[in-house]
Parts: sequence; C-alpha cells; structure tokens
Amino acid sequence: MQRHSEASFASSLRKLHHVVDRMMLWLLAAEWIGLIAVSLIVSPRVWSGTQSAVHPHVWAAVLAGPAFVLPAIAVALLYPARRLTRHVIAVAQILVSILLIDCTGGRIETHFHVFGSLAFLAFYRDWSVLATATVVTAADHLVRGIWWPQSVYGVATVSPWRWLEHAWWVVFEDFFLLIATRNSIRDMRAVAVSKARLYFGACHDVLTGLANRRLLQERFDTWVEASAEGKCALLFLDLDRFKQANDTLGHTVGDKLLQMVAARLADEVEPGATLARIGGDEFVVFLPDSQKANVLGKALVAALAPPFHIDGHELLLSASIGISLYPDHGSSLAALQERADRAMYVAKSQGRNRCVQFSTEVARREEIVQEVTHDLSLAMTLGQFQLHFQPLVRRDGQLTGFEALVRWNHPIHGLIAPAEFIPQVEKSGLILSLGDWILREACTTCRSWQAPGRPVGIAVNVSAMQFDQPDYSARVLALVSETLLDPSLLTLELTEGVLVRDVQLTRTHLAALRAAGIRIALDDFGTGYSSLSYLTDLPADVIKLDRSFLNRELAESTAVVESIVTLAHRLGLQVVAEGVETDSQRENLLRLMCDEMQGYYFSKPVTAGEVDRMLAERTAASVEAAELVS
Amino acid sequence: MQAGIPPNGIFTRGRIVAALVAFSVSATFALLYGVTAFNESPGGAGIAAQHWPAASALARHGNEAELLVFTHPLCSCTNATIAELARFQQRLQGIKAPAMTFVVYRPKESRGWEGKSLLSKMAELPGARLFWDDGGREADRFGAVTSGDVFLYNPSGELVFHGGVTASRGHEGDNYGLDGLLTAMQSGKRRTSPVFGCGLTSWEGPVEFNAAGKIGITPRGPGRPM
Repeated sequence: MQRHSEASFASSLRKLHHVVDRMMLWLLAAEWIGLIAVSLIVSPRVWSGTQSAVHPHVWAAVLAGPAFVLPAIAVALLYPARRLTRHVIAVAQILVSILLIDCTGGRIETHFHVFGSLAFLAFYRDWSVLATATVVTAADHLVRGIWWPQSVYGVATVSPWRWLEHAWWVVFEDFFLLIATRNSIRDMRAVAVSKARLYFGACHDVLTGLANRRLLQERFDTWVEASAEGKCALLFLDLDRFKQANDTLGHTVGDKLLQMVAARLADEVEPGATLARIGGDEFVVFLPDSQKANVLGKALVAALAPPFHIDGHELLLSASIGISLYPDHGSSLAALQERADRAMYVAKSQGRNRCVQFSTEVARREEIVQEVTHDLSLAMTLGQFQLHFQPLVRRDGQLTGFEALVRWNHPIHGLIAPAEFIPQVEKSGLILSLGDWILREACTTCRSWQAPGRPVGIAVNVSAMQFDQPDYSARVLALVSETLLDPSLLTLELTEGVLVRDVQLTRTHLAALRAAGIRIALDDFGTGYSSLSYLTDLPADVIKLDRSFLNRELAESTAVVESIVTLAHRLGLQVVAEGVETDSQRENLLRLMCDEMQGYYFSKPVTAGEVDRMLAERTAASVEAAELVS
Repeated sequence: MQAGIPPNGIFTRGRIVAALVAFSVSATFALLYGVTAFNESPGGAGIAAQHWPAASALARHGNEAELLVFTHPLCSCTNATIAELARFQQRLQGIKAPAMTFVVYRPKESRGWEGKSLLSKMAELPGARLFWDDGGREADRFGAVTSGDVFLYNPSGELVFHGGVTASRGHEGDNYGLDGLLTAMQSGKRRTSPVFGCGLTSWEGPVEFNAAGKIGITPRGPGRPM
C-alpha cells in the first residue's frame, strides 16, 4: 500500500504539473500579446522632430516571442510535466516580467508582475521552480545593479543598502510561497495516502491483501484494451477440503491458513500477473502470458504440498486448478472464469491436487451435465443408476469387501461419473432417495455374495444431507433389516466434516448404528482437520487414508502414514489406504502395517456381475489350495 | 560515409535542439541587452546657452528663477520627466518654485499635435505654462536637443542646471538629475545630467545653431558640475 500511495502521489503531482504547464503556456502567450499591446500603448514610436520609427520597446516585445516565449511554449507542449519544462517556463515567465518593467519605464505597478509571476509558478508546488525564478530575478538585478544602479535602485547614495530592501520583498514572497507550497504538498500527499488506502481497500481482499474481483476485472480490462492480438490465461484455484478445516478447526485457524496459502501462491506468481482471492477458498490468477499457464498451474499445486503449521496444527492442503485461455475459451472475464471453474471441477473429479486446462472435451462434458440435469428425476425411475464396486484387499491379499460407487448410465451420453452429477443431485434434493436406493442396492448385492466361510463386506458413502436427517440411523437400520444383510458386513463411510456438523446428532446416529453392529469409517482421513479428540468422542471403526498421501513425495507421505497408522492401531481402529496404483505404494503401505488397501493397482470399480466372477475365481483358488494341502 | 559526418546526417535531433537552445539564449541576451542599452543611452546634448538668450521669444517672469523644459509632444519618455518635475515641486519645501515653462516642439507644418495627452499632463503641474516652439527655434537658441531637457536659470538669468531629471528613458524614481536640479535650485551650484528622450528637431531648416554649432554627448554620472 505504501508503494501504491507513493505511486498515487507521484501520479497526482504529474497531473498537476501537466495542468500547470498548460496554464503557463497560455499565460505566456497572453502575456506576450499583452507585452506588445502595452509597448504600443506606452511607447509606440521614437521621434526626432517630425521623423519617427517603431520604438525599440515594441521591437523588443515582438522579438521576445521567438527569443524565449515561443521556445518555452514549445517545450511545454513537447515535454509536458517534465522537471526541465517547468524551469524553462519559470525563466521565460520572469523574463516577461523583466521586459514588461523595462518597456514601461520601471513603473512600480509593473513590478507587481514579478510577484504575480512567482505566485503563478507556485502552482507547480515545486520549490526549485521558485528558486529558479528568484535566481533569474537576482541575476538581472545584480548585473544591472552593477552597471546601471540608478535605474535599478534609484539614488544609491541615499541608501547604500537599498538593494537589500529591493531584494527583501522578493525573498519575503518566496518564503511564504514556499511555506504554502510545502503545506500544499503535504496535503496532496495525505490525500494520496488516503485515496490509496481507500483504493486499496476497495480493490484488495482484507484478509490476504491480494487483489479482489474489482481489481482483477480492472487489470483484465486494461490488458484487453492494450493487447489487441494477445492471449492471456485465467487460472481458477479451489482449495481441496478447506471447508472442512474451517468447520472443524474454527475460522481463526481457517483465516490464518488462507493467509499462508495466499503467501505461498503469491511467491509463485510473477509480477506481471494478478493473483486475486475472489471468495472463500477460491483464488484466481490472471496471467498475461498464456504460454506459462500450465507451468504456473503445476507450480501452484506444488507450492501447497508442504504442510502448514498453524497454532500447533499440522495441516495438509491441496488445490484443484482449472485453466482457461483468452480468447479461445471466452472473451470476457466472467466467461473465462466459468470455463476455468468447470475445468477445476474436472480436476476435482480426477482426484484433486492437479491442474486441468479447459478443452472442448471439458466443454462437451459440461454441456452433457447441463443436459442431463433435467433427466435426473427420471433416472432413478428408469433404473439408469448403477452401482460399481471397487475391492478392498487385506494385507495378506485376501479380498474383504467392496466399496459401492454409484454411476449413471445415461442412455445417450453413457456413463457419467459421480463428480459430475452428485452436486446436481444434492442441489435438487434427490440425494435422500438416491442415497436410500444406493444403500438398499448395495446391501442386497452384498447379501448375494455371501458364502459360508467367506464373508464379504460392503462400504457405502454417506452424504452430509443424508446424515443431517434426524431419522437417518433409523432408516439405515430399517433398510439393512429389509435386505437381511448382516449389519456387521456394512460399513458407512463418512467424511470428518460430515461428522462434526452437528456433534449431538452425530453421537445419536453413531450410537444407534454401532449398537446394531454397523461399522463406521472416517473417509478421506488426514486431509480434513479434525482434532484428534474427535476420534474418542465420535468413535469410528476404520480410518480411510486419502489418496493424496500416496501422491506426495515418498518421504513425506511415509512419515504421515506411519503416524496415522500407529495412532489408529492404538485406538483400535483399522486403516484402509485409498488410491493405491503402484507396486511400490503397496509395498510401502504393507511395511507401514496398513490393514487394507484399495485402488487401481488391485482393480478398477467393476459391475456386480464382474464381482461375482471375481469372487468365484477366488473361491476356486481357495478350494484348490485346500485340496493341495489335504 | 565521409569521415566525421554521422551516418544519419549533420542535422541530428540533438544538434538541432542544441542550436535552437543556443539561438534562444543568445537572442534573449541580445534582446535584454538591446533594450537596456537603449533605455540607458541618453539622447543628444547640445551646448546650452549659459545666459538667457536675448533673442528668445520666451518672456521672463520678472526676477524669478526660470525653469524651461523642452519637450517633444509625442515623446513617451517625457511622461517620466513630468512626473519627476511634480516631485521636484513637492520637494522644494519653502523655497519659491521657479516659473515653469514647457517649450513644446511643433513642426512648421501643423500635424495636429496640439491635442496630445502629454500636453494636458504638463498643464496639470501648478504654475506651468506651455509655449509652442514652432520649428524648434527656441530649442536651437537655448541648445536643447533632446525631449526632457531641463534648463534652470537663476533670477540673474544664469544657467545653473541643464540636463534630464530621469534615471533612464521613461524611468520614474530617484535619480541624480533630479538631485542635481534640487541642489542647483537650493544652493545655486551648477549641475548637469544626461537627458533621456526623443530628439527634438529634425533638420527642418533653416536651423539656428548655438554658438558652438556642435552637438556632443555629456558623460553619465551624478549631477556633474558644469
């Protein structure tokens, strides 16, 4: 803000100098004409008897134009608001005064013109300009005073110090003009600071000091005006699961986290770009050079990887970033932001902690989502929703159960991922009936997998809207009873944020569910910001480690996973790791004593039919092994 | 490319700007010096008649001191002379003011100069009278060459002051000439000073020259004794 206020003050001063230059050049022009007029009135001709000629004063007034008036005007027009310009004008102005006095015989009234000149020059609010004018006046009086003292000081013998009296009045006026100038400059500076503060407040986010929407729009509009053929980029950044942190740790910690995030992001953004916070946990970067967009996106993702330490908490955060390009993806900031927002959602659906550029494919998916939103209410009736199942594998390689994941098999657009339609389902309020359908379907399917000696569990995700219902636990128990599934085979997966929304209601639901034997899993554990006391107050049976741990550097993730596993085991909890994709991740998790794993390494989510085949193959393999042993 | 000449020619922007600056500075100095030199240069000074010329058509006022001011009705510098004479009258303090006569040049062929504003200013001085000097005869008799030339004759008809009463052309304010006139009036000591003004006559002929028949330049300085 200091820099801004200085820039604002300098800009105000420059504008002032510009205006005063214009005023002075008009004044000089008018004075030149006035000088000619005065000389024509006072002394038009010089006579010798009946013969006459144009008076030298008239010639002098006319020639003053090309000699110094017109050059000063030219300088003011060609180089406005420059320091040299106002000094040239000061010299010209005083010379006009001197010539006016000479052409009017040194009349006392025309001496006032000097004081008027100094007063006009004081408009520049630059003491050096007054100094220049005073020096020129002094030099003129010094030279004349030496060679022609009588006409400058009158009868010098009467008062030897008369020159001092003569000079005193000019210095006297200078002194007060300088005082006024100094005060005026101080006022200008104060106004500039005040304006800068107001502007800063109007254009910047109070919490983080980053630009806000208004400044972002201004910078974008300025760039568009200046760059007719250029390409720029917009990066839309949304912090993953920040809301949970804010809800669990409180707004004070949340605010500090945002400030630290802003600082890390700002370090990655080059000076020519604009980083803005546009709300909540959403940031936008306006990048004039579109070619650097992807590099910047990756840098921003990486910048948030190291943990944040706030008030004794160690917090892990990630961001999903969407990129849109101007003018390819839109010509207005709003359109670009919308495209980048969509791309950001794709990044979230692809696992978060990444950067995705908007493309025609993304646009196509966006259109599809818009289209299919209308079909949601019919989807359930027409049986378009499907469950896919991803296996959970124990340390020893045994398949222990499956997580149920809903898919929408749209008759036209094919399979639509949950990330694309669940938000619409929640907005429309269909989540309750969909949630009931998922639970019923999952329990029914799981019941069909059961075989003697081979229990297979099922895990179902629960949304916040469902869990907020006062009768949720009763509905679950009724559904489970209806499907005849052993409750101990059912695991309900809830995120930490869901659990802490209404602690009392949560306790009620958990008590009822656990009493029936249903297991509770804390989903996406480690990315939320729960106080560990929640683990005792709101008991769970399983902790599901978020996939983001496995995407980090091995050394970092190992330390965190090891801590969580140790803690979980001490509390009697099982640990399940999500998102396992490589053999090295699996081996590391085994070494860290993780109880179960889930991920593409073992299997992608498959249909119920494929699960039946999977289970049949495993059963056959077990029988073979038993026969070999016997 | 010839040696010593820049690739883009002699008239580079910097040289043009430098030349214009040099012209402006030189022209300004020349202008100011020219105006100052003109203002500070006295007009011609004739050889003044040391005694009241007997052939003069001007009537004397008995045994009073006579103050003659030879003027050109169109000389703007004479405004200052008139203002200084007004101050002279104020500074006399108890001393009887001399009889003041403005001897105004008028050409032989009338030019309609009788209505000029300078004349009304002359008439405003207490006791001042106007005398039209047709063809500049009186100026020649007394030896006045420049407008604003002041002659002070004592009651005996002897010249005690001759010269100008302004510091420079058209310049009002304290000056040695006025001091000299006061000194001459108060003490009778002879004083002279340069005269700053237009020329009175222009060879209308025949002209009556003074005895010396010359026109010379009186050196500048405080009211010099004659």
